[in-house]
Amino acid sequence: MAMLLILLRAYMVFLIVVILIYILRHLIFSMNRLSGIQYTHYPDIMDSDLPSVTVMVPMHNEEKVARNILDLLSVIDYPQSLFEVIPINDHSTDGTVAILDQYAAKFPYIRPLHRSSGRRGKSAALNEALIRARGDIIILFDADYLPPQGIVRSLAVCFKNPVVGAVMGRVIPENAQTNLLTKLLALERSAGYQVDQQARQNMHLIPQFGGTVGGFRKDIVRELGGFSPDSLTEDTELTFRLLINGWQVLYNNRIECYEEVPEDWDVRGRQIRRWARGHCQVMFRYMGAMLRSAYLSPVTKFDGVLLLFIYLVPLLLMVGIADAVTLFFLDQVRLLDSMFIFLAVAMFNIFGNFAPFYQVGTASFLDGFTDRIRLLPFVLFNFLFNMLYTAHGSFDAIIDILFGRTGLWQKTERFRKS
Amino acid sequence: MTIAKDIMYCHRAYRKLSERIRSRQLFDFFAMSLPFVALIIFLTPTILYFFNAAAQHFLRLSFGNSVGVVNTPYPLFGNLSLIVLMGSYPTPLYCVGLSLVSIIGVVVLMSMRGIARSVSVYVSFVLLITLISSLFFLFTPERFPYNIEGFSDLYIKTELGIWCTIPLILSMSLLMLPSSLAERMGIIALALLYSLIFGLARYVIFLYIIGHYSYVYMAPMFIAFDPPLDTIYIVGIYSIYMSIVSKRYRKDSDIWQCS
Amino acid sequence: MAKNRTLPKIITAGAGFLLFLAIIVPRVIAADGEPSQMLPFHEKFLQFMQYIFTVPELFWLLVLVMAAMIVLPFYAAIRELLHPRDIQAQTVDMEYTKEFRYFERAFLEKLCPVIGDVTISDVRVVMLSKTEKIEVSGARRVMDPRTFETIVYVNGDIETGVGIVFEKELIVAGSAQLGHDTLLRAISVRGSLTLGRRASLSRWAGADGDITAGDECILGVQVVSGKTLLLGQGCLFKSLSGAPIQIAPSHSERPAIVPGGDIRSHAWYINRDGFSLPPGVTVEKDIIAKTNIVVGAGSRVRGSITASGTVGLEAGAVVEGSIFAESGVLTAQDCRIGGDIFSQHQILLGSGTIVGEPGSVRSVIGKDKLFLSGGVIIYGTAFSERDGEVIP
Repeated sequence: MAMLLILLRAYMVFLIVVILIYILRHLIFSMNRLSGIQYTHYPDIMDSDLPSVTVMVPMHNEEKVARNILDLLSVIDYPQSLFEVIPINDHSTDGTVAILDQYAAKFPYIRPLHRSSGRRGKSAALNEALIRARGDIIILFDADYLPPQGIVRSLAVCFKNPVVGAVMGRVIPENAQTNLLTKLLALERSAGYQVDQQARQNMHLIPQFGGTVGGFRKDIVRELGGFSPDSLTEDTELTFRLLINGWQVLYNNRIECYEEVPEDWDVRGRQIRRWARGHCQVMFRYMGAMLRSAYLSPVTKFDGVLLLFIYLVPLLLMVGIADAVTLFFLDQVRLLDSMFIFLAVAMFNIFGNFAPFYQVGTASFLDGFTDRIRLLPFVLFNFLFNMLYTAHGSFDAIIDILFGRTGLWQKTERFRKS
Repeated sequence: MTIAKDIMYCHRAYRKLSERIRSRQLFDFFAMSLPFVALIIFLTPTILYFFNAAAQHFLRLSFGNSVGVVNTPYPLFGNLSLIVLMGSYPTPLYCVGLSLVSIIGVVVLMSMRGIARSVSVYVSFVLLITLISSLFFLFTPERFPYNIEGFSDLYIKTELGIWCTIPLILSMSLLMLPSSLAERMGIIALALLYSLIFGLARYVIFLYIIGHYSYVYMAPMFIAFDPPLDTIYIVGIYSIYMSIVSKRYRKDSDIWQCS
Repeated sequence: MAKNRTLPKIITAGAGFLLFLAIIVPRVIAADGEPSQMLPFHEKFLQFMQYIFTVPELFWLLVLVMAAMIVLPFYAAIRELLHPRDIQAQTVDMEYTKEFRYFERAFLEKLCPVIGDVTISDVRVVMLSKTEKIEVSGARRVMDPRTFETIVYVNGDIETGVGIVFEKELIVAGSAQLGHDTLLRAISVRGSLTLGRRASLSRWAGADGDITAGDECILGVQVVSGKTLLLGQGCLFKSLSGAPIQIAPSHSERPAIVPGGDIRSHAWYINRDGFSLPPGVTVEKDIIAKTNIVVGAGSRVRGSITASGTVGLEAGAVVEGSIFAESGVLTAQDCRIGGDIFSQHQILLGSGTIVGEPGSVRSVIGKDKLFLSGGVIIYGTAFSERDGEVIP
């Protein structure tokens, strides 16, 4: 019994320390973004010697959105001789195939890849497309994205720096006004990119490659063996594989692109469950290698641990709540234990991008939102919802490791009306 | 130069606060938080005296003179006033009934979809703790370690922790804003006042429920309705203030600069 | 027309007050006894409440108070949800792409459709983002000090004397030669542009031909030349573009030595705790360093350089690729860089440094400061978020 109490108490202390570390981390990020030196201006480089680029757009049953992105890619400002588009039809059963063929007939630089055999999923699709890509730089967009005219040039020019292995831009929800969920997600994205990613860029920590509105060097990824086919978050995995091997991931706030966020709570729940599962898979696979990498500073490694750990935190918090309940019935509740619940809810009420409320406020202030920030109390409803799905995903990842299970990649449902 | 210059606003990707705003942040943090924390610690005995006296008067209307107040020392804060009252244990039948209701409630709520899901998750959480509590009282009621004084002790200490934490959290959150120190301290004062009133109402309700309806509700109230609800008004007050500040300074070229 | 929301608020508040009275008044009338006179205020208040309310109304009132206090923070959120004021998604400019003459193009796109017949000289009113007057004339010489308060369109060449002020944009279909101490807001020239000494530009300048800026000019936000952009000593700038950008040779043989013991006043000082290439060697790869790098005199790097610290190039060093340096880039005289130069802090290009080559476009971006010495040539653009300066 004494041993049990020690364990319960130690776990509670551990959780409080974890929460305080993340509180401090996000406060530092917020302060840095609002006041610190901003590492920007890469897209201001104008160079006549541009790299060849392949834009890849993985598609599985994307007839609702395919035309939009292909129309925009057809007017991209980039020398045509250095530019190609590979839309990847990944086992589609709707009108996606016909749409791609239509655009291929009209634009010679649009060269669709049709996949009807082999493993399904984004990673497998990208691996196959990498073989036929002609460009030195691969730029990815998800099918629901709306790239502006100059985005390819802005992304490509960042690779002039030889240490840059991948570049990531900022996503902005285009359907933010649809309903409460999309408005909350717009706040979340704002916090995640405007503050979190940019602060990590400023502080030479680990900005994440998000797998869309971003690009990477083709040869490096080929040398590293391509994308792992059983990875549910190939973007996070690529981030750490590049970093471990000495390459930099560059985030730039100015490179903006519209995206579509889920409009349905269940779709959203499945999305974050997949993110959590994939992210935790990456944590299990790469934590050790990251800590051993000779290319990363101790501070960067420490932040890397926090970044990898982050999707596991909700599961730990759920266990912490169970711990608090147990301590309660054992008459062992101390001030820290009740404060833990308060701090957990107050600081982690957004689990999608793990932005505490003051980080959301900072991002909204920078973005010039004046009224949308008032929706912030609604985020509290999300606390347990997000925690549940995230914890579920993390639990899935633990089971995957223990039993050698692999997950099936699930595409996020689209909502755009044709 | 006689030519009027238009103000060129920085793109949101590049802008940040000017040097003038940055330089005073550390001072602001301590200036905003420490006075309130010191005040709370200093005034704890007085605040708690009123807190528990008010609770005692309200509860006496229902429980008569069996409601008492005791003082107990607490390091740093001085004397804590606590409510003393006879509580009751639930009957086994009551526990069984409550357990069944909780289980059915969880099953029904977890099948909800859409936005109702996010509310139902929270309610399910409350019902789960209620289920655990009712099962505890069904099988091992003699091991329940609390009486109302014990609950009062837990609640009061949690409230003290929250009152001391509110200035720190809000100071951190408001630290980076360009508004005046007095204004931001006013926001913290407002949040603390809100917490005091809210805490008192909740305290009386909790004690009333425990006194009238048994100790079985102590766990869900303390775990699900105590700390989590405090975050609502903190975030609410913060968000309204941020909205006001954002409108006020949105186009103020004095406070912004480019990267 | 905005909804009148005042009346419902008054009705709601009034109903609440009446309800409150309906509960209190009967109980006050029916109350037994009186509150004690000598009790402290809070005791009096509580006794008063005791007379006013009885359980269970008190309990439900407290529940209502608590519920109201939980819902109240959501009030603003509910209002925003039901009647959103932030109704636009964040705007992303779908046509945004980097271009040299962005400001000039944007202005001319607005002006050209509305200006009318430019062969007729008059003062006319046009609608741009607001109503503007524009003075249209043929070629002209303006030698006496004068202030132009309207937009000026010159359908030919223009030559001005000393101290002329153009408060609005100046559009020149031919070439422009502006005298010393000219003040102007913005200028677009079809031919070539010459700015006299100490000319001051507040916004942008663009010319299809050469641009020559005399000593100590202030060059606004953006200056773009379709051909050579030549800057005199002491010019200040933010963004330049030319094919190439050329800094006039320094007037003095050597910069004046500032008296004092600090070594930086006497010499180029580069801390050598980083990586350094000896003079006269060739490196066939990129160089990436987490510290400072010095490329020795006459050495050649057949790749790019990236450094967390400072990159220093000694005299005659050649880097065929680009240079990316966090802390700064310093080049001595007669260095050559084939690619771009980018630093989050400062860049100082020594005399005779050449960036790029004819026909190419390269960028020199020093986010904090950019100093260009006499004789520097840049094929492309130069940009600094804070200060750009031509130094001796």
